[in-house]
Amino acid sequence: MRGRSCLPVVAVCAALAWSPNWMQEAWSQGGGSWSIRAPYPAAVNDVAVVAVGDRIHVLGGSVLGVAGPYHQEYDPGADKWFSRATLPKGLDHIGATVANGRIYTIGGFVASVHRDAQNAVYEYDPASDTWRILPPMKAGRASVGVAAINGKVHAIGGRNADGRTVATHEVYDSATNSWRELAPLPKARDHAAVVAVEGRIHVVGGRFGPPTEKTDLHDVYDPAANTWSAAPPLPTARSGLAATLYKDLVIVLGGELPPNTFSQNEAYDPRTKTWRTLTPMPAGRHGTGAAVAGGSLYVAAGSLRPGAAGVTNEMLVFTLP
Amino acid sequence: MRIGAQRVVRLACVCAAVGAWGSAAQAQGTQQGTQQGTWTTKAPVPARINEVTLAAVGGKLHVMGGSVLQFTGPYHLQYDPAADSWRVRAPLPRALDHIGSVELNGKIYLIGGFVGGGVHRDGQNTAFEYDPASDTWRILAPMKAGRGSVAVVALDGKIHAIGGRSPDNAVTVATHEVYDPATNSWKELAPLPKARDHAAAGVMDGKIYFAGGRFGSSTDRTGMLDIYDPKANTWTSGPPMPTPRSGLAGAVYKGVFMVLGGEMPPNATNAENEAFDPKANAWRTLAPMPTGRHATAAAVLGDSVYLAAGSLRPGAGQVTDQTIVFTMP
Repeated sequence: MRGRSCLPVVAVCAALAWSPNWMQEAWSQGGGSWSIRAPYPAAVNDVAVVAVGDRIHVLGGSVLGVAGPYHQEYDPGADKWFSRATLPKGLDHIGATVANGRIYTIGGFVASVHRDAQNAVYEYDPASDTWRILPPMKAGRASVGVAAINGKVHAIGGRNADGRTVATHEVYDSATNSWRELAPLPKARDHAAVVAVEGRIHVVGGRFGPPTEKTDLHDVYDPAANTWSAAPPLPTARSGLAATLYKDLVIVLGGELPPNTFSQNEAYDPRTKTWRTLTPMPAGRHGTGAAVAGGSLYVAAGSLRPGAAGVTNEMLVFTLP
Repeated sequence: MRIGAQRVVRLACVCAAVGAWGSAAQAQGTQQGTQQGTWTTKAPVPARINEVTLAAVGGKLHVMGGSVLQFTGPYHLQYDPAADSWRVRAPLPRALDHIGSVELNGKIYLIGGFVGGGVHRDGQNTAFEYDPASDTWRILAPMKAGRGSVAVVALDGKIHAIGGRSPDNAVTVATHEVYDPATNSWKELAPLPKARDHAAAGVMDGKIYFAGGRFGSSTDRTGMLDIYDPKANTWTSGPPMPTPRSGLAGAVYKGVFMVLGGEMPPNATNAENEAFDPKANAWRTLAPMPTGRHATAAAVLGDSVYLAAGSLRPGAGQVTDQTIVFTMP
């Protein structure tokens, strides 16, 4: 009897799961609204998320501590996922960005937790669905922040093969197919949010060592002067972040601090030099990334609980009016 | 803004609670007759993995190998029914899916498997032995040739590896090899009357029962039942399984050979739970699984049959983390 009485509620929940419209209405607030889309076709942790040509790409990640060369492409118009050429190597905690219409993946770990950071660098051409192996960084790094300015790919911070966080800042120039070193971060960290806006790179939050050593630091890199300067700190100190530029705002999402995860959605406006709080994610999460396509921000896979607990296949979409 | 967030959190809680009740409802819904058994759900596998193998040893269930987005992993998880919880155990010596497995004398044996990076690729000849006491793997003498999706059973202290698919994915084989742990060696026995893979096998009363499977493509399925007599080293035909299918889980439970699930691309999976009763020399229909599935396996633990992970739709469609349990009086 108890079971039977619940069936209508089950039906409601099932309907809700298939009803992004409802989600959108219920969540629609001044700080934007969240809804769900077709799930990522696997539950994978510590993925990288980028957008190129109005498609979302989800790269790498781990399942039960084993990194895989996973690569799926999401078409927001069709709400569908497609398998794409797999990464040259199974990696998680990859840093990824897009420059000149191509995806660049930087570093990554080969296994959990944070094991054997690699110096591997790959370039993906969406037109031919192929990967190219580029010259490596000077040393292995993973959980590295990656952003592109003027067609150059900056790899900032991260964790080295010995498991220590680093302040290293290297830049890759596709014109010369080579790396060189730039001014390091003021303080070594990883699991941060790294986003380029108006010709500068913002490095927000992250951790100095274990997840408990989280920070709200906000550093801004000026490529013309090759210098770092401090900016207003992240309102909620956290690490294990997803971040992207969306509607001229640096959006910093989620994070982990055992035994909890963060659902925070905080946005930095570089014009007013202030932070504002947007509608939080439906649940806390980390181990994911964020990217923008077709006027909306997407967050795919990752974990709902700290570490590798509650690994999810959820695909969330955030829209600001 | 805040109100919106709280509403959603509350709804998430309701849905989670309903999820738990839903399993109870499901169990009740399948209680058409207790003779046909009942299904319940347990703590989900902490990953969604396809093409796994299962074995029970020392009162615990092991889920091994499998693939995620067609990439195989050396996954190894152990389920404790008393605590209803999962934990990670020593990874397999190599990443494989479509492995055949069986328990013998307190150890788990894994035979063959595919390496992944696609469907049914590079069937391996590997054999591994797991010792749960030390949580370690040992590499055994290999089979004469690579095979994945091979049916594996234990009979009279030896391990039989029957049928499967060869490394090039083009050929389904009838090969029947037996491994003797005492000598760490393999020898060939009478092959299957007709080559097939993705079948189910079990041992009852000193004989091997080999049911269903496919002859080649995933739609070329069969209901054939072949019975192996080790004394005569011969196969004979038994009554065919009522529902021809492949991509099966099999278990010997309470004197019958249960054959569960299967896939029929492009859209169908089987929820069927059909059991061969050697005393009646006939099949009977037991309570079907809550939903169709394939790419999983079954193992008997305590008084129940467990299935875990696999896919609810054909191929790698809707890979699941479900743990479902069948009990029959």
